[in-house]
Amino acid sequence: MAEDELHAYVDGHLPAGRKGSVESFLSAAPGEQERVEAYQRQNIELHRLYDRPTYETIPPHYGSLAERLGRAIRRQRMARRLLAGAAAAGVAGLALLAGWSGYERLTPAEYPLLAFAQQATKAHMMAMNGFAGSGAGEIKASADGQSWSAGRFAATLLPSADLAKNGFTLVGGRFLPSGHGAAVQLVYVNKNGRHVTLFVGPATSGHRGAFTIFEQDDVALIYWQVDNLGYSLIGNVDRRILFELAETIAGATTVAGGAKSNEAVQPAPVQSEAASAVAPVPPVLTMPPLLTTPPETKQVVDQAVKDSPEPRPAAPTAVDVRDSLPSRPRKASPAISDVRLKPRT
Amino acid sequence: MENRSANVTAYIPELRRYARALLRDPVEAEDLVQECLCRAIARARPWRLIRDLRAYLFTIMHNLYVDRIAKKANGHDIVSDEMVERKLVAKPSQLDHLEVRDLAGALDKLSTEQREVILLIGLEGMSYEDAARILDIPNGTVMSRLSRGREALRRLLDGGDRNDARSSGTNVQSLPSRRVREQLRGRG
Repeated sequence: MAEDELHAYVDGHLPAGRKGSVESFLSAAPGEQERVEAYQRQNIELHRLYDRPTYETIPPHYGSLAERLGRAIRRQRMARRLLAGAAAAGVAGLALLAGWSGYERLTPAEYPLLAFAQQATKAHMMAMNGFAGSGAGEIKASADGQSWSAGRFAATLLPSADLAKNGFTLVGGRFLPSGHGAAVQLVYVNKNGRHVTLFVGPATSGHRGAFTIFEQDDVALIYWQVDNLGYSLIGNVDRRILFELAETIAGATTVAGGAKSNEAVQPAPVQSEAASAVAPVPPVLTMPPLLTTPPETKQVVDQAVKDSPEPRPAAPTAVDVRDSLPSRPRKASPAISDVRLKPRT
Repeated sequence: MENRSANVTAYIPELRRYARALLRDPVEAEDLVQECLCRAIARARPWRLIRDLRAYLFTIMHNLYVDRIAKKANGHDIVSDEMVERKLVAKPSQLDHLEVRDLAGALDKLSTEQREVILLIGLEGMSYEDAARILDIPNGTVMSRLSRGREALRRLLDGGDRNDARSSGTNVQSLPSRRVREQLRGRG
């Protein structure tokens, strides 16, 4: 009889099928039987020695620490589900999208920015699904001057979104409805064929400035907020690459005030946010004026939705707003020094 | 594993119990629990997923405990006279809770490594795999520490009874008041 099995017997970890043979061995070996019983008594005595009913009453300071830890863990788990979905996008993207409404219900109101990132992930999944289904070239072509050529417009809109120096080129863009209005989705690709989605839209959250990064398998997600705009980058790249992209965008966002525009820029008052008290920051481009439906928009059904086996009334609809550049107000942005990232340890 | 609850509160009673069994001193034990929760929050990075909360918490507690032992060994920590006294008094006697007192005293004689394995498995009901993960040692090492530790306890307890019978006249005078005090504190 193996020593390990005797201990497993003592601790109740023995597979069901082995219990009988251990017991018959013990009944034939009184010395071993005595030893096993001594070990069993040790376990019982340990509980008599150290169990305290008072431990069940959680002191308040433990309770608040536990609550904080619980929040962090729940956030992790939701982000993980999010990224697991994104990792599978393009493989089983449509099936996942069909089940997506369940995720949306799961997102509690306590994580508004995560809810935002969830929208971004969904958009990314749909885009990736399009790439997988039709090939990257076709996505661009299928736009046919429609949804995906909004990239040209979006690039004008967001000079900060030029990721050429990071080796990523814009391959498409579109407008999507989002929780609090409309959002812009831009898709980039690098020379290795890695796709990254930038999602910019209205967001309400207290998490201003700081980047939040999630990583799961080979998909990474990063999001941050500037004023009332949420930014989310997601792609099947290393999170360090994603972080560099985010820095490029966030960096450009804070200095993009002087970017040229085709349209007359309406002078809008710089909002005196608390963040601007830290350092004088140049005004930046922001999205909200775009978010009302511009005139002469055309609704086109997104390719991914069209391919979907089931009607999906809740699915985003691409909107072509190429010819309806709105005006842009100026706003303050948080000091970039708010941004933090801990290296992998 | 992953389906285990994210309800941290559910694990606090066993963390307190384990800390108390490790340290024996109630104040120090509660301090360890608090430090463990704070560390758990600080280490909960978004990209480093906590797959098993219970193992995560016990791993942190184990590491903190090992740190404390190392500090004490280097003389960085002042051990109170009371604690030293209590250690000295933790000898078996023929008063009530004889068996219990014996086990506590016998546990003190084990190596830290063996004691942790025995407490995680025997008291906290950890699987052998979880214990290996928490202590960051191979499964085989868990089994050998468990086997040796239990056998050492058994011999200590057998011998302890005899020693106790022999030495019953020597320590008894100073024991009762201290023991009562200790037990009162222990029940708090």
